[in-house]
Amino acid sequence: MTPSRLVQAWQRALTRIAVAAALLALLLGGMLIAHAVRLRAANPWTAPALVALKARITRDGARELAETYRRLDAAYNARYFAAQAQIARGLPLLGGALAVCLLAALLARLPRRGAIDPRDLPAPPPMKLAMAGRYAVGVMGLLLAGTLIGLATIPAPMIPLSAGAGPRATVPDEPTLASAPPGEPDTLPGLAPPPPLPAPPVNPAPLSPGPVKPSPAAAQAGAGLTDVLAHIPDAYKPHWPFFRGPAGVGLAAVADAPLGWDVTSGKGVRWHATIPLPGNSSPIVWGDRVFVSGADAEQREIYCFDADTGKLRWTGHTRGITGSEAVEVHQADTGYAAPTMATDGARVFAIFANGDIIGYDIAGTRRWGRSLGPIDSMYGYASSLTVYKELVIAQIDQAGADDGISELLALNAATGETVWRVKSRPVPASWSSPIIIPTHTRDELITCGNPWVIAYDPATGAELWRAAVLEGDVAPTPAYGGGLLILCKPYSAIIALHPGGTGDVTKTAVAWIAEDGAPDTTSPAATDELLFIPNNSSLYCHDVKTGTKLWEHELEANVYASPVIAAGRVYVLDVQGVMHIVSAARTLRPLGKIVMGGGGMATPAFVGGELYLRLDSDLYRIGGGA
Amino acid sequence: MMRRRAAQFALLFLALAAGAQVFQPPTEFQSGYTLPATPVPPPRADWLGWLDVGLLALALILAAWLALRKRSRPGVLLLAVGSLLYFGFYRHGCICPVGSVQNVALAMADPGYALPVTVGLFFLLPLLCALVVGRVFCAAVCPLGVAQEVVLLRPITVPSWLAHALGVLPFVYLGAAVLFAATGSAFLICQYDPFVLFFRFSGSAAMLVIGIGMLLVATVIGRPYCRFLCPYGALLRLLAPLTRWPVRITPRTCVNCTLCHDACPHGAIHPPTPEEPRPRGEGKARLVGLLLLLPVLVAAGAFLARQTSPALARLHPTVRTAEQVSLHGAGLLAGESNAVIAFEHAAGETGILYAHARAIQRRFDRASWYWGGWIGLVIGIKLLTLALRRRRTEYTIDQGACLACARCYPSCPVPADGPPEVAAPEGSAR
Repeated sequence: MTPSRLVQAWQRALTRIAVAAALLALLLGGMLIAHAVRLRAANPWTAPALVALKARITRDGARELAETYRRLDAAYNARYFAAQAQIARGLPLLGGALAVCLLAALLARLPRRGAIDPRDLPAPPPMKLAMAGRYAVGVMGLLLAGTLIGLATIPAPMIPLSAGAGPRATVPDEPTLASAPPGEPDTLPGLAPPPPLPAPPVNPAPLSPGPVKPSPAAAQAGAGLTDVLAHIPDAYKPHWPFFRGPAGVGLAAVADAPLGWDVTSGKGVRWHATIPLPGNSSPIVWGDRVFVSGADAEQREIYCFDADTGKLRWTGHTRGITGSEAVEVHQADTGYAAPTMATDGARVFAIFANGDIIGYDIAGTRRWGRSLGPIDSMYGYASSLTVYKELVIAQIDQAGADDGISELLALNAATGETVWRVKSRPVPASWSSPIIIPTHTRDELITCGNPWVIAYDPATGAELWRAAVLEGDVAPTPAYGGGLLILCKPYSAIIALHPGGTGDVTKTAVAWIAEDGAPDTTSPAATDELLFIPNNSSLYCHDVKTGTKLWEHELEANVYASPVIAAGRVYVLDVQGVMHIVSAARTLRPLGKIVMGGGGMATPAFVGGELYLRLDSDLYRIGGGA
Repeated sequence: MMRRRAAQFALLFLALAAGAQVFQPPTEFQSGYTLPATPVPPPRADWLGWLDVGLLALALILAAWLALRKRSRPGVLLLAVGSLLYFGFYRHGCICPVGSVQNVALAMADPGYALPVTVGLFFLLPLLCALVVGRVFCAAVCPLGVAQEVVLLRPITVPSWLAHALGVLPFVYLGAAVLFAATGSAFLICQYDPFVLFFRFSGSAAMLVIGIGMLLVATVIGRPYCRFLCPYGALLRLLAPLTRWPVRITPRTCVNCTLCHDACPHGAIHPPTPEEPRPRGEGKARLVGLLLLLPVLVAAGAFLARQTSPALARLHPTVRTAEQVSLHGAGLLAGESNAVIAFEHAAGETGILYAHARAIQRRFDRASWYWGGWIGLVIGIKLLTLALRRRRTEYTIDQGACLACARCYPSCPVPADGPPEVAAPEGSAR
């Protein structure tokens, strides 16, 4: 059947419309291209005459030509924008002409119902090409594989590990032990092997209440304060072995502490010493020795001062550690030596921003050293070490949670070898320090990150429970009082948890939440009744059992150092170097404000009725009838 | 012939004229800095976004009605042109369901990115529609598809083996687009959209060449982008076979005339299979072999893609900047780098930059495993589907590949409006 005459006429008309529209489009296109050429020639940015004139004015200082340049520039601009406007007007016309052309051409070609003659239909084609299809897909797979292999040969971007490290291509995944054969102490080239290590004076008893009986003296020192102090090993109580005291929670087992001193005049100051390298780590004290660390981008050192005289007894360092790499810390508030050292009485341990960790005996001989880094921490690594029995515990939270490289390590205190390791902790970089608390049935190693607070068995590293209650950049270390773990969600909330659970306790362990806000850096401290938290230049007191705010005390400056509860008082050092002392009571009672003049970043140590204080590079022993 | 040539010349003129305007730098009086072309249209008022969603829903309903109920090819074409004008030229091709895949991927990977509800609806509506009435979105709503549809002048048949091989690419592209969007690196689909520069009269010279090339190919091959590249089409292809009311060549009995097969430029109509029996053991052995091959392909793909991670990470601007800053610091960077200059002027901290770059690299390390595994899975499943034997007694629509364009309706000699069939034979035309 042939198309009807009407259809034929319609198709002829459409064809003519298409041809006319195509001719119009050709005409418009030609005009637009001519305008485009004109536009290019009139471009004042590249016009040779203008460029030459500008160069002459700039080079020869021919200021008299400036007016000529302005006139010429205006003329070029007028031509340029006129051409641009004509193109802007012509383009839609061109588009319309093309659309009409296409539409008419397509309509002229549309088949009409009844126009198809089904006579002499060809036979259905046989099934074919399935195998050819498989081969073709296989070839496509090989092409894709070849593309991937080609991409794989492109060198990796040269991203250094730190600003000072220079270009490098790969990042080591695992830290390496510096000491050569396992079990042998690390020694530096050319140094004599260290003498045998004396037995540590510490009774490595667990902290949990069952097996430990507090000594009468210690019980008296900690009386009325908190359950946790009563259950730490007796050997720890007269000392300040870790960050935030013998229990690691900001409690001092002392019956007295200084109330007034003046570092400028020396009144009440027993001695003053200068720490060679900078750092924000806090001093620790064991017997007649005071230990503190310092570091810069190149050097990392630890110092042992005589507690009686303030003289530097010996200096340790991290030199010669295999795999040690320099990192750059851009946050001055953190620095290269933010983590506080730890000691078990026989050995001292220190870790630095680049992940170098060392163990020295208290006589000053290095026993081991290894690199756990470099640590990917955007503000610089700051978690302090803690000690449990024969273990040194380091919380290495770094990078992002998805990166899966945050971990918790327990090292043999004598050799530095890894005893247990929790890999791929589900948290990003954090700056909180691990603490060990005694519940009624066991010791729990508490770690804080975003969002998980996770408790482990400190002897084995086995996870006990976890709760997703935190967020943001987690830096505060928890407090423990009245059987509750007190956590800070930076800027937003204070959370009290019941420890001692199993599994995910997010929905079951929360005792209370105070919405008053929480600090982003400093840590809380608590007795069994009261909680003290500095935040936003104020010190807040809450009821530990209920979270109810009891009072607020203006401090006038922000606080980074952690508060310490000692002898029934709360000592809070602000960043301007002012020590605020208030009574650890339900009602606010300020006891003193001692201005020392800057550098208040480190948490003071309270031992034997005196305190040891670091202000920048100055180390003070205060009290003791000076 | 003359009409075709005229159209092709006209297209070329359009492209040249558009390019002539686009690539002139704006007049500069101060710094010599050339303003880059805006990559996306400016944001719109909320209610206009909801208007777009409403129009999309309306267009989908209309397309379904025209393609399935009215069976009107002119109607579908008219709606397609309307969609091209609104979603393409007026809305500048953004937001479109094709690109929304990336927004969804980014929202799933980055908790800090909130997916706008309207964008989520743009992503979901055509997919839901595909479950009910097939790929009517491709037929008459998608501006990218319509741009190819209207320039198809003389379709030629792509050999089925080649179509099978090229059909893998949309899934590979989908994986790559999700990878780059989820890592916050780039919106590949938008960046390499070959048609959007025609909608905006703006774009790079390279994309102009690719766009013109794609349009020229589309004059002889039906919808090359939709069939062999479109990542959203890959999703629709997976869902459309499950459709409740599929496209039918004829609601009556197929007479096996082959006309619909010849009329379909998209290779979506399969002929009947031959009657002769084939040994069953042969097919079973092949199937078992391919099933065993599947995990090997997934593992091989994952392994190979993981090796590409460093090169892929370089596409992230932060990684590129970190590398250039590092090379510049080491004195190894030849010439000047705008990124380094900008970074130095901004007084950026190199340590923080490097830390961010390393974090992004690690993200790529993980994501590339998934991407490679996905590629292996796609190839493996494609091989499996090609090994499956299907029996067809008449010309049958492949609902996954059918774009519901209604081209086959006018070619069918069986009148659609005759008396209804009493009972359709087994395997009737769908």
